Amino acid sequence: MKDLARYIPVFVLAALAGLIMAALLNPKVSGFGAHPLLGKPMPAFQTTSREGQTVTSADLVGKPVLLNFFASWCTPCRLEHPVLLQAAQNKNIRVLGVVYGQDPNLESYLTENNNPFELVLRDPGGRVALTLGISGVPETFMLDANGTVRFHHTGALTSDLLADALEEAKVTP
Amino acid sequence: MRKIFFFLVVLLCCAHPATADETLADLALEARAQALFHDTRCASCQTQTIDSSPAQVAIDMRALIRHRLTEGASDVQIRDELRAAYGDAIFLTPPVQKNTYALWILPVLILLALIWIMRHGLQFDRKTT
Repeated sequence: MKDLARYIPVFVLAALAGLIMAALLNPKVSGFGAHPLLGKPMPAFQTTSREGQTVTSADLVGKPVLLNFFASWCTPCRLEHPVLLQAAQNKNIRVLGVVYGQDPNLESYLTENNNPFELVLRDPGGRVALTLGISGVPETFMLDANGTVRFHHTGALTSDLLADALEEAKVTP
Repeated sequence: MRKIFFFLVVLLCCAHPATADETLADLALEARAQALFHDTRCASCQTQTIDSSPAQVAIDMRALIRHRLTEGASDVQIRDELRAAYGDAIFLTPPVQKNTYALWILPVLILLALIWIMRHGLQFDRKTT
């Protein structure tokens, strides 16, 4: 027993090292983990759209919404653009874009690539982005009909991810 | 000539990353802003604080924090707003709460274990024949 007692600090350090490794390997603990808005109502915000409307978070309730943060200079945004055009074909959802920052090439970008967005919300100072915990573009949220965030993805959206988003919001593909 | 060249190199290495931000005229508020910047992680370049990150999201976050300070928001309010959007990981200093007790106690336990080892040593019995 006395012999084993000598190794207690070693056991303690080994157990602590194991805890640290387990935490580092857990994707929910490493980095920022799951988005804090998942399962919660969209936070309040107000902004204006390219189409001249004042849009608030309350306007996102009633029908599932695919909310996509993008910019014309963003390469992954261009990569995911066909998926957004595909999403816009689904009449069971609304596809809204938020253009992050000042974007002088917005109009030519939407004209050249076709516009998948019902509305394009402006966010020149990034206030909407910061309210929603955006880390960069592209970043996509899926809200259900009640305005609750059901899906979040950082990076280019793929067809598979779009299918996941629709499933999480209980939308017919 | 070599001394001048060396001096210029040292001078460049000491240069702080300059930002194009507008600092607040109220020095006390700007000091609070800087303190918040130094503890807030850049959401894009996560190994940097927003103080030194050139990422647009960091620039926007600095502007937002300054704006909220001029509106009279407390540091706690600003932290709560950022935490609501980004989670606890947005700050370098983890909160003291149930899921972080182990994180705070860990360094103390490691220190105690090391002190114990230094005092008592690890003696391995060697049986001699």
